[in-house]
Amino acid sequence: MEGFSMSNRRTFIKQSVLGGSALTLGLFPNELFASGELVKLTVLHTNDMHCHIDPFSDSHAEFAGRGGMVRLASLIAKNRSENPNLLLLDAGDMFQGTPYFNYFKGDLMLKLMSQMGYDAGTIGNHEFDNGLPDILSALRFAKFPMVSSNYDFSDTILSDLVEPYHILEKGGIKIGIYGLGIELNGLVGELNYGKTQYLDPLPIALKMERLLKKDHNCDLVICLSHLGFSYEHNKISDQSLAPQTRHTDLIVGGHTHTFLEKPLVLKNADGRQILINQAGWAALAAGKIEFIFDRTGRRKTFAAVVNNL
Amino acid sequence: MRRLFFSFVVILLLFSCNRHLFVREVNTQNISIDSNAGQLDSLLESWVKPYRDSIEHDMNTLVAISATPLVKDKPESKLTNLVSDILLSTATSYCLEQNLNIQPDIAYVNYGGLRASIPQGEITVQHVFELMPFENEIVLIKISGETFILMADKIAIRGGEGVAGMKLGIRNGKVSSLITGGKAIEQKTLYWLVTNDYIANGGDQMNMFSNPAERINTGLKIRDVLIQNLSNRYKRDGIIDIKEDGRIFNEQ
Repeated sequence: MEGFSMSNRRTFIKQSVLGGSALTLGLFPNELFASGELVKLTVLHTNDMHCHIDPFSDSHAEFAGRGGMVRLASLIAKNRSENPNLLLLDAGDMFQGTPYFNYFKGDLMLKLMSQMGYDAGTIGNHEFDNGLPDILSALRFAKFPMVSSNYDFSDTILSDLVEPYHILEKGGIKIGIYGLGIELNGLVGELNYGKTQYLDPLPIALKMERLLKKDHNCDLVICLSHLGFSYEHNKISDQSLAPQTRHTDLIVGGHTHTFLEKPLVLKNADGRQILINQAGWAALAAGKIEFIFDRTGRRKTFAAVVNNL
Repeated sequence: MRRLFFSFVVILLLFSCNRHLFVREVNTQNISIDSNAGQLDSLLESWVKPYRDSIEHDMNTLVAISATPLVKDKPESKLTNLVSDILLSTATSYCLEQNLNIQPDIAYVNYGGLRASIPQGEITVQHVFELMPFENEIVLIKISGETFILMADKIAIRGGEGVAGMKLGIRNGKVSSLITGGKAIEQKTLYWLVTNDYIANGGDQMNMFSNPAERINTGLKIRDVLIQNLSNRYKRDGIIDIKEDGRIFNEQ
Protein backbone atom coordinates (compact mmCIF):
# COMPACT_ATOMS: atom_id res chain seq x y z
CA MET A 1 0.00 0.00 0.00
CA GLU A 2 1.74 3.14 -1.10
CA GLY A 3 0.76 6.72 -0.47
CA PHE A 4 -1.40 7.60 2.42
CA SER A 5 -2.91 4.39 3.63
CA MET A 6 -2.61 3.91 7.32
CA SER A 7 -2.69 0.97 9.61
CA ASN A 8 -5.93 -0.17 11.10
CA ARG A 9 -6.53 1.59 14.32
CA ARG A 10 -8.99 0.46 16.87
CA THR A 11 -9.99 2.94 19.44
CA PHE A 12 -12.57 2.76 22.12
CA ILE A 13 -14.93 5.55 22.62
CA LYS A 14 -14.85 7.14 25.95
CA GLN A 15 -17.07 10.09 25.42
CA SER A 16 -20.63 9.91 26.61
CA VAL A 17 -23.70 11.81 25.63
CA LEU A 18 -26.17 13.61 27.87
CA GLY A 19 -24.01 13.04 30.93
CA GLY A 20 -24.52 9.39 30.09
CA SER A 21 -22.98 8.10 33.31
CA ALA A 22 -26.25 8.85 35.05
CA LEU A 23 -28.08 6.50 32.76
CA THR A 24 -27.73 2.96 33.98
CA LEU A 25 -28.20 -0.23 32.12
CA GLY A 26 -31.40 -1.21 33.84
CA LEU A 27 -33.29 1.64 32.27
CA PHE A 28 -32.84 0.40 28.74
CA PRO A 29 -35.53 -1.81 27.32
CA ASN A 30 -33.47 -4.85 26.49
CA GLU A 31 -35.58 -5.93 23.56
CA LEU A 32 -34.11 -3.06 21.58
CA PHE A 33 -30.79 -4.84 21.51
CA ALA A 34 -29.89 -8.23 20.23
CA SER A 35 -27.88 -9.59 23.11
CA GLY A 36 -24.10 -9.73 22.91
CA GLU A 37 -23.95 -8.43 19.40
CA LEU A 38 -21.84 -5.81 17.72
CA VAL A 39 -22.68 -4.67 14.21
CA LYS A 40 -20.03 -3.39 11.87
CA LEU A 41 -20.94 -0.91 9.17
CA THR A 42 -18.28 -0.27 6.53
CA VAL A 43 -18.59 3.08 4.77
CA LEU A 44 -16.66 3.29 1.52
CA HIS A 45 -16.77 6.56 -0.33
CA THR A 46 -15.50 8.41 -3.38
CA ASN A 47 -15.76 11.92 -4.75
CA ASP A 48 -14.83 13.79 -7.92
CA MET A 49 -14.43 10.64 -9.98
CA HIS A 50 -14.77 12.79 -13.11
CA CYS A 51 -15.42 9.84 -15.42
CA HIS A 52 -12.07 8.24 -14.61
CA ILE A 53 -13.35 4.81 -15.42
CA ASP A 54 -9.95 3.48 -16.48
CA PRO A 55 -6.70 3.89 -14.54
CA PHE A 56 -4.43 6.74 -15.66
CA SER A 57 -2.22 5.77 -18.59
CA ASP A 58 1.24 4.40 -17.86
CA SER A 59 2.74 7.57 -19.34
CA HIS A 60 0.85 9.88 -16.99
CA ALA A 61 3.27 12.23 -15.23
CA GLU A 62 1.69 12.09 -11.79
CA PHE A 63 -0.65 9.10 -11.51
CA ALA A 64 0.69 6.51 -13.98
CA GLY A 65 -1.33 3.31 -13.79
CA ARG A 66 -3.29 4.46 -10.76
CA GLY A 67 -6.93 5.16 -10.03
CA GLY A 68 -9.99 4.32 -12.09
CA MET A 69 -13.37 2.84 -11.31
CA VAL A 70 -12.56 -0.53 -12.87
CA ARG A 71 -9.92 -1.01 -10.18
CA LEU A 72 -12.02 0.62 -7.46
CA ALA A 73 -14.77 -1.91 -8.25
CA SER A 74 -12.58 -4.83 -7.20
CA LEU A 75 -11.77 -3.10 -3.92
CA ILE A 76 -15.47 -2.62 -3.30
CA ALA A 77 -16.20 -6.26 -4.10
CA LYS A 78 -13.46 -7.38 -1.71
CA ASN A 79 -14.79 -5.19 1.10
CA ARG A 80 -18.34 -6.31 0.44
CA SER A 81 -17.31 -9.95 0.73
CA GLU A 82 -15.65 -9.15 4.06
CA ASN A 83 -18.64 -7.24 5.37
CA PRO A 84 -22.01 -7.26 3.63
CA ASN A 85 -23.03 -4.24 5.73
CA LEU A 86 -21.29 -1.95 3.30
CA LEU A 87 -22.43 1.56 2.51
CA LEU A 88 -21.06 2.95 -0.74
CA LEU A 89 -21.33 6.71 -1.19
CA ASP A 90 -20.21 9.39 -3.61
CA ALA A 91 -19.89 13.12 -2.96
CA GLY A 92 -20.39 14.45 -6.48
CA ASP A 93 -18.57 15.52 -9.63
CA MET A 94 -19.06 12.16 -11.23
CA PHE A 95 -19.24 13.88 -14.61
CA GLN A 96 -16.61 15.48 -16.86
CA GLY A 97 -12.96 14.70 -17.22
CA THR A 98 -12.42 11.93 -19.76
CA PRO A 99 -13.70 11.26 -23.30
CA TYR A 100 -16.20 8.81 -21.83
CA PHE A 101 -18.16 11.86 -20.78
CA ASN A 102 -17.92 13.54 -24.16
CA TYR A 103 -19.11 10.44 -25.95
CA PHE A 104 -21.61 8.96 -23.52
CA LYS A 105 -22.53 11.93 -21.27
CA GLY A 106 -23.31 11.09 -17.65
CA ASP A 107 -25.30 8.04 -18.69
CA LEU A 108 -22.34 5.67 -18.62
CA MET A 109 -21.16 6.89 -15.21
CA LEU A 110 -24.53 6.24 -13.61
CA LYS A 111 -24.84 2.86 -15.30
CA LEU A 112 -21.45 1.84 -13.90
CA MET A 113 -22.02 3.29 -10.45
CA SER A 114 -25.33 1.41 -10.30
CA GLN A 115 -23.51 -1.74 -11.31
CA MET A 116 -20.96 -1.11 -8.57
CA GLY A 117 -23.75 -0.91 -6.02
CA TYR A 118 -23.60 2.71 -4.91
CA ASP A 119 -26.14 3.44 -2.20
CA ALA A 120 -26.33 7.22 -2.64
CA GLY A 121 -24.70 10.14 -4.43
CA THR A 122 -25.00 13.89 -4.57
CA ILE A 123 -24.89 16.61 -7.22
CA GLY A 124 -21.55 18.36 -7.75
CA ASN A 125 -21.01 21.46 -9.86
CA HIS A 126 -19.72 19.49 -12.85
CA GLU A 127 -22.94 17.53 -13.02
CA PHE A 128 -24.35 20.74 -14.56
CA ASP A 129 -21.70 20.95 -17.31
CA ASN A 130 -24.07 20.03 -20.12
CA GLY A 131 -27.13 21.47 -18.48
CA LEU A 132 -30.13 19.96 -16.70
CA PRO A 133 -31.30 17.77 -19.63
CA ASP A 134 -28.11 15.71 -19.42
CA ILE A 135 -28.53 15.22 -15.67
CA LEU A 136 -32.08 14.08 -16.38
CA SER A 137 -30.81 11.69 -19.03
CA ALA A 138 -28.19 10.20 -16.72
CA LEU A 139 -30.59 9.80 -13.80
CA ARG A 140 -32.63 7.35 -15.88
CA PHE A 141 -29.76 4.91 -15.37
CA ALA A 142 -29.25 5.46 -11.65
CA LYS A 143 -30.38 2.60 -9.46
CA PHE A 144 -29.48 4.58 -6.36
CA PRO A 145 -30.81 7.90 -5.04
CA MET A 146 -29.29 11.31 -5.75
CA VAL A 147 -29.49 13.32 -2.57
CA SER A 148 -29.27 17.10 -2.47
CA SER A 149 -30.83 19.13 0.30
CA ASN A 150 -29.83 22.66 -0.67
CA TYR A 151 -30.40 22.59 -4.42
CA ASP A 152 -34.08 23.19 -4.97
CA PHE A 153 -34.94 21.64 -8.32
CA SER A 154 -38.70 22.04 -7.95
CA ASP A 155 -38.99 24.53 -10.84
CA THR A 156 -36.85 22.39 -13.13
CA ILE A 157 -37.12 19.18 -15.11
CA LEU A 158 -35.34 17.42 -12.23
CA SER A 159 -38.23 18.10 -9.87
CA ASP A 160 -38.88 15.02 -7.69
CA LEU A 161 -35.86 13.17 -9.12
CA VAL A 162 -33.40 14.42 -6.53
CA GLU A 163 -34.17 13.60 -2.90
CA PRO A 164 -33.63 16.13 -0.07
CA TYR A 165 -32.62 13.25 2.22
CA HIS A 166 -32.55 9.50 2.11
CA ILE A 167 -32.85 6.88 4.81
CA LEU A 168 -31.62 3.35 4.42
CA GLU A 169 -30.80 0.40 6.61
CA LYS A 170 -27.79 -1.90 6.68
CA GLY A 171 -27.63 -4.81 9.09
CA GLY A 172 -30.17 -3.18 11.37
CA ILE A 173 -28.35 0.16 11.39
CA LYS A 174 -30.55 3.04 10.29
CA ILE A 175 -28.61 5.57 8.29
CA GLY A 176 -29.81 9.02 7.32
CA ILE A 177 -28.13 10.83 4.43
CA TYR A 178 -28.44 14.43 3.33
CA GLY A 179 -26.55 16.29 0.63
CA LEU A 180 -25.02 19.75 0.30
CA GLY A 181 -23.98 21.39 -2.97
CA ILE A 182 -21.73 24.34 -3.61
CA GLU A 183 -22.86 27.86 -4.61
CA LEU A 184 -23.65 27.71 -8.33
CA ASN A 185 -23.52 31.39 -9.20
CA GLY A 186 -20.07 32.23 -10.59
CA LEU A 187 -19.04 28.57 -10.76
CA VAL A 188 -21.62 27.11 -13.13
CA GLY A 189 -22.99 28.91 -16.18
CA GLU A 190 -26.47 30.28 -15.48
CA LEU A 191 -27.88 28.66 -18.57
CA ASN A 192 -26.68 25.30 -17.29
CA TYR A 193 -28.38 25.37 -13.91
CA GLY A 194 -31.48 27.21 -15.07
CA LYS A 195 -34.06 27.58 -12.33
CA THR A 196 -32.19 25.49 -9.78
CA GLN A 197 -32.22 27.39 -6.49
CA TYR A 198 -29.10 27.27 -4.34
CA LEU A 199 -30.02 27.49 -0.66
CA ASP A 200 -27.68 28.42 2.19
CA PRO A 201 -26.13 25.09 3.26
CA LEU A 202 -25.86 25.78 7.01
CA PRO A 203 -29.55 26.14 7.97
CA ILE A 204 -30.42 23.30 5.61
CA ALA A 205 -27.79 21.07 7.24
CA LEU A 206 -29.09 21.85 10.74
CA LYS A 207 -32.64 21.13 9.65
CA MET A 208 -31.75 17.89 7.89
CA GLU A 209 -29.54 16.44 10.63
CA ARG A 210 -32.20 17.11 13.23
CA LEU A 211 -34.90 15.61 11.06
CA LEU A 212 -32.83 12.49 10.46
CA LYS A 213 -31.53 11.95 13.98
CA LYS A 214 -34.48 13.14 16.02
CA ASP A 215 -37.60 12.65 13.92
CA HIS A 216 -36.47 9.59 11.99
CA ASN A 217 -34.23 8.15 14.74
CA CYS A 218 -31.33 7.37 12.46
CA ASP A 219 -28.40 5.72 14.20
CA LEU A 220 -25.93 7.45 11.93
CA VAL A 221 -26.29 10.74 10.03
CA ILE A 222 -24.06 11.32 7.04
CA CYS A 223 -23.70 14.48 5.00
CA LEU A 224 -22.64 14.09 1.37
CA SER A 225 -20.97 17.41 0.73
CA HIS A 226 -19.66 19.01 -2.40
CA LEU A 227 -18.84 22.23 -0.54
CA GLY A 228 -15.09 21.62 -0.41
CA PHE A 229 -12.76 20.69 2.46
CA SER A 230 -11.66 24.18 3.50
CA TYR A 231 -10.87 27.61 2.11
CA GLU A 232 -8.57 30.40 3.11
CA HIS A 233 -11.28 32.96 2.59
CA ASN A 234 -14.62 33.13 4.25
CA LYS A 235 -16.59 30.58 2.27
CA ILE A 236 -18.58 27.71 3.69
CA SER A 237 -16.69 24.43 3.65
CA ASP A 238 -16.82 21.09 5.42
CA GLN A 239 -14.43 22.44 8.03
CA SER A 240 -16.46 25.55 8.71
CA LEU A 241 -19.75 23.65 8.70
CA ALA A 242 -18.84 20.76 11.00
CA PRO A 243 -18.39 22.75 14.26
CA GLN A 244 -21.85 24.24 13.79
CA THR A 245 -23.67 20.92 13.50
CA ARG A 246 -25.16 18.83 16.31
CA HIS A 247 -26.27 15.49 14.89
CA THR A 248 -24.10 14.82 11.86
CA ASP A 249 -21.62 12.01 12.46
CA LEU A 250 -19.70 12.05 9.21
CA ILE A 251 -19.20 14.48 6.35
CA VAL A 252 -18.21 12.72 3.14
CA GLY A 253 -16.67 15.58 1.23
CA GLY A 254 -15.61 16.49 -2.29
CA HIS A 255 -14.88 19.33 -4.71
CA THR A 256 -11.41 20.31 -3.47
CA HIS A 257 -9.86 16.97 -4.57
CA THR A 258 -8.33 16.67 -1.10
CA PHE A 259 -6.36 13.54 -0.27
CA LEU A 260 -6.53 12.69 3.41
CA GLU A 261 -4.59 9.98 5.18
CA LYS A 262 -7.40 9.68 7.65
CA PRO A 263 -10.53 11.62 8.44
CA LEU A 264 -10.27 14.95 10.21
CA VAL A 265 -11.95 14.87 13.61
CA LEU A 266 -13.57 18.08 14.82
CA LYS A 267 -15.87 18.99 17.68
CA ASN A 268 -19.47 19.79 16.85
CA ALA A 269 -21.61 22.48 18.49
CA ASP A 270 -22.22 20.19 21.47
CA GLY A 271 -18.54 19.36 21.89
CA ARG A 272 -18.93 15.90 20.40
CA GLN A 273 -16.80 14.61 17.61
CA ILE A 274 -17.62 14.69 13.93
CA LEU A 275 -15.59 13.15 11.12
CA ILE A 276 -14.74 14.83 7.82
CA ASN A 277 -13.27 12.69 5.10
CA GLN A 278 -12.43 13.12 1.42
CA ALA A 279 -10.80 10.78 -1.10
CA GLY A 280 -8.89 12.85 -3.64
CA TRP A 281 -10.37 12.45 -7.11
CA ALA A 282 -10.41 10.23 -10.23
CA ALA A 283 -10.97 7.12 -8.08
CA LEU A 284 -7.35 7.49 -6.99
CA ALA A 285 -8.48 6.78 -3.47
CA ALA A 286 -11.40 5.48 -1.49
CA GLY A 287 -12.34 6.65 1.95
CA LYS A 288 -12.97 3.80 4.33
CA ILE A 289 -14.53 4.13 7.75
CA GLU A 290 -15.83 1.26 9.84
CA PHE A 291 -18.39 2.06 12.50
CA ILE A 292 -18.87 -0.63 15.08
CA PHE A 293 -22.22 -0.33 16.73
CA ASP A 294 -22.93 -1.76 20.12
CA ARG A 295 -26.23 -3.56 20.29
CA THR A 296 -25.67 -5.04 23.72
CA GLY A 297 -26.57 -2.04 25.79
CA ARG A 298 -24.15 -3.27 28.45
CA ARG A 299 -22.15 -0.12 28.10
CA LYS A 300 -23.05 3.40 28.86
CA THR A 301 -24.67 5.49 26.23
CA PHE A 302 -22.12 6.58 23.74
CA ALA A 303 -22.18 9.37 21.26
CA ALA A 304 -21.85 8.20 17.70
CA VAL A 305 -18.40 9.64 17.39
CA VAL A 306 -14.81 8.63 17.82
CA ASN A 307 -11.85 9.19 20.01
CA ASN A 308 -8.13 9.10 19.38
CA LEU A 309 -8.26 8.78 15.64
CA MET B 1 -47.12 18.44 39.13
CA ARG B 2 -43.64 19.80 38.68
CA ARG B 3 -42.20 16.45 39.69
CA LEU B 4 -44.47 14.69 37.24
CA PHE B 5 -43.35 17.00 34.47
CA PHE B 6 -39.72 16.44 35.40
CA SER B 7 -40.16 12.67 35.32
CA PHE B 8 -41.84 12.98 31.97
CA VAL B 9 -38.89 14.92 30.58
CA VAL B 10 -36.44 12.39 31.97
CA ILE B 11 -38.39 9.52 30.45
CA LEU B 12 -38.54 11.30 27.12
CA LEU B 13 -34.83 11.95 27.31
CA LEU B 14 -34.10 8.32 28.06
CA PHE B 15 -36.46 7.09 25.42
CA SER B 16 -34.87 9.25 22.76
CA CYS B 17 -31.45 7.92 23.76
CA ASN B 18 -32.57 4.36 23.77
CA ARG B 19 -33.85 4.51 20.29
CA HIS B 20 -30.39 5.00 18.80
CA LEU B 21 -27.67 2.48 18.44
CA PHE B 22 -24.35 3.87 19.49
CA VAL B 23 -20.93 3.64 17.96
CA ARG B 24 -18.42 1.91 20.16
CA GLU B 25 -15.47 1.89 17.87
CA VAL B 26 -14.37 3.50 14.65
CA ASN B 27 -11.64 2.24 12.35
CA THR B 28 -10.37 4.31 9.49
CA GLN B 29 -8.17 3.36 6.63
CA ASN B 30 -8.33 5.51 3.52
CA ILE B 31 -7.09 3.44 0.63
CA SER B 32 -4.95 4.38 -2.34
CA ILE B 33 -6.32 2.84 -5.53
CA ASP B 34 -3.24 1.43 -7.21
CA SER B 35 -2.18 -2.02 -8.34
CA ASN B 36 -1.87 -3.06 -4.68
CA ALA B 37 -5.52 -2.25 -4.09
CA GLY B 38 -6.56 -5.01 -6.45
CA GLN B 39 -6.83 -6.15 -10.03
CA LEU B 40 -9.22 -4.65 -12.50
CA ASP B 41 -12.70 -5.88 -11.74
CA SER B 42 -13.60 -8.31 -14.50
CA LEU B 43 -17.33 -7.71 -14.31
CA LEU B 44 -17.10 -3.93 -14.55
CA GLU B 45 -14.39 -4.31 -17.16
CA SER B 46 -16.78 -6.35 -19.31
CA TRP B 47 -19.34 -3.57 -19.00
CA VAL B 48 -16.87 -0.86 -19.97
CA LYS B 49 -15.12 -2.65 -22.83
CA PRO B 50 -17.64 -2.02 -25.62
CA TYR B 51 -17.72 1.68 -24.73
CA ARG B 52 -13.94 1.90 -24.58
CA ASP B 53 -13.47 0.09 -27.89
CA SER B 54 -15.90 2.40 -29.62
CA ILE B 55 -13.87 5.52 -28.77
CA GLU B 56 -10.36 4.09 -28.76
CA HIS B 57 -9.69 4.57 -32.45
CA ASP B 58 -10.60 8.27 -32.26
CA MET B 59 -8.56 8.77 -29.11
CA ASN B 60 -5.37 7.25 -30.51
CA THR B 61 -5.31 9.46 -33.59
CA LEU B 62 -2.10 11.49 -33.81
CA VAL B 63 -2.59 15.25 -33.72
CA ALA B 64 0.99 16.57 -33.62
CA ILE B 65 4.41 16.08 -32.08
CA SER B 66 5.67 18.48 -29.45
CA ALA B 67 9.36 19.15 -28.85
CA THR B 68 8.74 19.70 -25.14
CA PRO B 69 6.15 18.90 -22.50
CA LEU B 70 3.46 21.57 -22.36
CA VAL B 71 2.62 22.22 -18.75
CA LYS B 72 0.59 25.05 -17.30
CA ASP B 73 2.26 27.40 -14.89
CA LYS B 74 2.19 30.98 -13.64
CA PRO B 75 2.70 33.76 -14.43
CA GLU B 76 2.81 32.35 -17.96
CA SER B 77 3.62 28.97 -19.49
CA LYS B 78 3.88 27.22 -22.80
CA LEU B 79 0.48 25.65 -22.34
CA THR B 80 -1.45 28.75 -21.29
CA ASN B 81 0.23 30.76 -24.07
CA LEU B 82 -0.45 28.13 -26.72
CA VAL B 83 -4.16 27.81 -25.96
CA SER B 84 -4.63 31.58 -25.68
CA ASP B 85 -2.81 32.16 -28.99
CA ILE B 86 -4.96 29.56 -30.72
CA LEU B 87 -8.12 31.21 -29.41
CA LEU B 88 -7.01 34.63 -30.64
CA SER B 89 -5.90 33.45 -34.08
CA THR B 90 -8.98 31.27 -34.59
CA ALA B 91 -11.30 34.12 -33.65
CA THR B 92 -9.40 36.44 -36.00
CA SER B 93 -9.85 34.00 -38.89
CA TYR B 94 -13.50 33.51 -37.95
CA CYS B 95 -14.17 37.26 -38.13
CA LEU B 96 -12.50 37.45 -41.54
CA GLU B 97 -14.46 34.50 -42.89
CA GLN B 98 -17.72 35.90 -41.56
CA ASN B 99 -16.93 39.42 -42.92
CA LEU B 100 -17.53 40.86 -39.48
CA ASN B 101 -15.02 43.67 -39.79
CA ILE B 102 -13.77 42.91 -36.31
CA GLN B 103 -10.16 42.62 -35.24
CA PRO B 104 -10.03 40.74 -31.93
CA ASP B 105 -7.51 42.39 -29.59
CA ILE B 106 -6.87 39.94 -26.79
CA ALA B 107 -7.68 36.45 -25.55
CA TYR B 108 -8.23 35.22 -22.02
CA VAL B 109 -8.11 31.56 -20.96
CA ASN B 110 -8.96 30.69 -17.36
CA TYR B 111 -6.13 28.74 -15.76
CA GLY B 112 -8.46 26.25 -14.09
CA GLY B 113 -10.05 25.39 -17.43
CA LEU B 114 -6.90 23.67 -18.67
CA ARG B 115 -7.32 20.26 -17.09
CA ALA B 116 -4.15 18.36 -18.03
CA SER B 117 -0.64 18.74 -19.37
CA ILE B 118 0.54 17.67 -22.83
CA PRO B 119 3.51 15.29 -22.75
CA GLN B 120 6.59 15.67 -24.90
CA GLY B 121 6.38 13.74 -28.17
CA GLU B 122 3.17 12.44 -29.68
CA ILE B 123 0.05 14.42 -28.94
CA THR B 124 -3.06 12.32 -29.49
CA VAL B 125 -6.72 13.26 -29.54
CA GLN B 126 -6.89 11.70 -26.08
CA HIS B 127 -4.41 14.27 -24.75
CA VAL B 128 -6.44 17.14 -26.12
CA PHE B 129 -9.58 15.69 -24.56
CA GLU B 130 -7.81 15.53 -21.23
CA LEU B 131 -6.57 19.10 -21.62
CA MET B 132 -9.96 20.42 -22.67
CA PRO B 133 -12.71 18.03 -21.62
CA PHE B 134 -15.38 20.72 -21.58
CA GLU B 135 -17.81 21.34 -24.41
CA ASN B 136 -17.02 25.06 -24.33
CA GLU B 137 -17.09 27.23 -27.41
CA ILE B 138 -15.24 30.35 -28.47
CA VAL B 139 -17.06 33.57 -27.66
CA LEU B 140 -16.11 37.17 -28.49
CA ILE B 141 -17.16 39.97 -26.21
CA LYS B 142 -16.68 43.70 -26.63
CA ILE B 143 -15.44 45.18 -23.38
CA SER B 144 -14.43 48.63 -22.18
CA GLY B 145 -10.87 49.51 -21.22
CA GLU B 146 -12.20 49.73 -17.69
CA THR B 147 -13.32 46.08 -17.82
CA PHE B 148 -10.01 45.15 -19.42
CA ILE B 149 -8.21 46.63 -16.42
CA LEU B 150 -10.51 44.81 -13.98
CA MET B 151 -9.63 41.58 -15.78
CA ALA B 152 -5.91 42.37 -15.52
CA ASP B 153 -6.34 43.11 -11.80
CA LYS B 154 -7.91 39.67 -11.33
CA ILE B 155 -5.15 37.96 -13.33
CA ALA B 156 -2.55 39.79 -11.23
CA ILE B 157 -4.19 38.69 -7.98
CA ARG B 158 -4.15 35.13 -9.26
CA GLY B 159 -0.48 35.42 -10.24
CA GLY B 160 -1.08 34.92 -13.96
CA GLU B 161 -3.41 33.04 -16.32
CA GLY B 162 -3.74 32.39 -20.06
CA VAL B 163 -3.61 35.52 -22.20
CA ALA B 164 -2.76 36.56 -25.75
CA GLY B 165 -2.44 39.96 -27.41
CA MET B 166 -1.31 41.75 -24.27
CA LYS B 167 1.69 42.22 -22.04
CA LEU B 168 1.15 42.29 -18.30
CA GLY B 169 3.59 43.06 -15.51
CA ILE B 170 2.72 42.01 -11.96
CA ARG B 171 4.19 43.33 -8.75
CA ASN B 172 2.96 42.10 -5.37
CA GLY B 173 -0.30 40.78 -6.82
CA LYS B 174 -1.06 44.08 -8.56
CA VAL B 175 -0.84 45.22 -12.17
CA SER B 176 2.40 47.15 -12.64
CA SER B 177 2.22 47.50 -16.42
CA LEU B 178 -0.34 46.63 -19.07
CA ILE B 179 -0.21 47.13 -22.82
CA THR B 180 -2.04 45.79 -25.85
CA GLY B 181 -1.16 46.47 -29.49
CA GLY B 182 1.86 48.43 -28.21
CA LYS B 183 -0.31 50.90 -26.30
CA ALA B 184 -1.52 51.47 -22.76
CA ILE B 185 -5.17 50.64 -22.04
CA GLU B 186 -7.62 53.52 -22.31
CA GLN B 187 -10.64 53.37 -20.03
CA LYS B 188 -13.14 54.48 -22.65
CA THR B 189 -11.79 52.51 -25.60
CA LEU B 190 -13.63 49.31 -26.53
CA TYR B 191 -11.70 46.09 -27.05
CA TRP B 192 -12.67 42.73 -28.47
CA LEU B 193 -11.83 39.90 -26.10
CA VAL B 194 -11.80 36.23 -27.13
CA THR B 195 -12.64 33.68 -24.46
CA ASN B 196 -14.93 30.72 -23.81
CA ASP B 197 -18.65 30.79 -23.10
CA TYR B 198 -18.13 29.80 -19.46
CA ILE B 199 -16.04 32.90 -18.81
CA ALA B 200 -18.21 35.14 -21.00
CA ASN B 201 -21.14 34.08 -18.82
CA GLY B 202 -19.31 35.41 -15.77
CA GLY B 203 -17.88 32.05 -14.63
CA ASP B 204 -14.81 31.66 -12.42
CA GLN B 205 -15.55 34.94 -10.64
CA MET B 206 -14.99 36.91 -13.87
CA ASN B 207 -18.21 38.81 -13.32
CA MET B 208 -16.75 41.92 -14.96
CA PHE B 209 -17.63 40.25 -18.28
CA SER B 210 -21.29 39.83 -17.46
CA ASN B 211 -22.67 42.75 -19.46
CA PRO B 212 -20.52 43.25 -22.54
CA ALA B 213 -21.33 45.90 -25.17
CA GLU B 214 -21.57 43.13 -27.77
CA ARG B 215 -21.21 39.37 -27.81
CA ILE B 216 -20.63 36.87 -30.62
CA ASN B 217 -21.10 33.15 -30.04
CA THR B 218 -18.99 31.45 -32.69
CA GLY B 219 -20.25 27.93 -32.04
CA LEU B 220 -16.63 26.75 -32.46
CA LYS B 221 -15.88 24.07 -29.88
CA ILE B 222 -12.54 24.81 -28.30
CA ARG B 223 -11.42 21.21 -28.20
CA ASP B 224 -12.14 20.77 -31.92
CA VAL B 225 -10.30 24.02 -32.61
CA LEU B 226 -7.24 22.87 -30.68
CA ILE B 227 -7.12 19.53 -32.52
CA GLN B 228 -7.56 21.23 -35.90
CA ASN B 229 -5.01 23.94 -35.25
CA LEU B 230 -2.29 21.67 -33.86
CA SER B 231 -2.84 19.10 -36.59
CA ASN B 232 -2.63 21.71 -39.39
CA ARG B 233 0.42 23.27 -37.87
CA TYR B 234 2.19 19.93 -37.53
CA LYS B 235 1.43 19.01 -41.13
CA ARG B 236 2.67 22.40 -42.29
CA ASP B 237 5.69 23.08 -40.04
CA GLY B 238 6.60 19.74 -38.47
CA ILE B 239 7.41 19.32 -34.80
CA ILE B 240 5.78 21.96 -32.62
CA ASP B 241 8.15 23.90 -30.41
CA ILE B 242 6.38 26.35 -28.13
CA LYS B 243 8.38 29.07 -26.34
CA GLU B 244 7.48 31.35 -23.51
CA ASP B 245 7.71 35.00 -24.48
CA GLY B 246 7.31 37.00 -21.28
CA ARG B 247 3.77 38.20 -22.00
CA ILE B 248 3.08 38.00 -18.27
CA PHE B 249 6.03 38.71 -16.01
CA ASN B 250 6.74 39.40 -12.38
CA GLU B 251 8.40 42.72 -11.62
CA GLN B 252 10.50 43.15 -8.53
